[in-house]
Amino acid sequence: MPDIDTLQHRYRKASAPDDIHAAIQRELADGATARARWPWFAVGFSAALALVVIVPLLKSPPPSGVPSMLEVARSLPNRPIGSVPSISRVGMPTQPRLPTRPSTPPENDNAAPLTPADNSGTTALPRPNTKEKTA
Amino acid sequence: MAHEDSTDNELVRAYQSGDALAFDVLVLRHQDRLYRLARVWLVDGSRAADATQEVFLRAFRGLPRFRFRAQPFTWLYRTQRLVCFEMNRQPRDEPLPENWATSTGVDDRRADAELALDEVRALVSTLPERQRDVVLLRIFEDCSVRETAELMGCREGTVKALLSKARHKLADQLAVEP
Repeated sequence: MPDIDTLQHRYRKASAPDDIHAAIQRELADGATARARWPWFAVGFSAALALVVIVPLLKSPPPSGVPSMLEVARSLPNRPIGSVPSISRVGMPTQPRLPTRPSTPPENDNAAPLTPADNSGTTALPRPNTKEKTA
Repeated sequence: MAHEDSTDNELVRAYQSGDALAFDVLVLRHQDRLYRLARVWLVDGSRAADATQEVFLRAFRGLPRFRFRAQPFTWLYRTQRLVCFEMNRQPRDEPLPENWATSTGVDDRRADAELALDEVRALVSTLPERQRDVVLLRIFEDCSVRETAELMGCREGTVKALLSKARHKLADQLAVEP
């Protein structure tokens, strides 16, 4: 083992390999290229999405005789924006709403009414008639 | 190069304001020092170049948020230390040959320097971790006591005490060996 001074002198001569700096430059350049590329990916993806999904949706006629959105849009070219009804509601057949519950309550004489003091929301059960049994 | 006389802080500020050349100067200024430290810290010395490269890539991503609470080299030094310890925990693919530094086809001057790095590693490997770092920074990297204290995150008195103990151990070690 040489003495420390000699070792110190030889140690300081050691330098990083030349390819470290080149490799860092290459990595940084690749990163910059990737960052420069992603907006074009976003633009391309949006355009493809519009072509594949949105345009066929606009062109396809609805099945039940309802005018398509394009037809509705063409029929309302010169009207002010505030007066144009919502496109989704134009031409929709109006159907009577089905009653969700009967207008008159069902006749059920056996059901016990809620007692005023009952706060739990459950119906009070009729008490068993114990007097008759004991008698 | 325009930034050759700039301090590290000025380089980082220039890089934060979008000057990519400043980062380049920072790499060229510190890569040798970080590489030498990695060669001593790493069990597998052949990965020192990878470790140094990783540190600078982390710096490239992290220095835009650097807040100047410490010197930029302190940040690089501690990141290098962390990267080396992470690499030491990973299993090696295959054991290195004894004379890998001299058998890789590099020129004689470079091979001698790489051999010196191996000898330094063998010398300080017997020391406790903090004494080893003090010896590396104070003796081999020629840092001042203040700089060493900042890099290690301790007081200057601690650096002096650690160095004194380490010198005694190294002297004993060199006296015993032929």
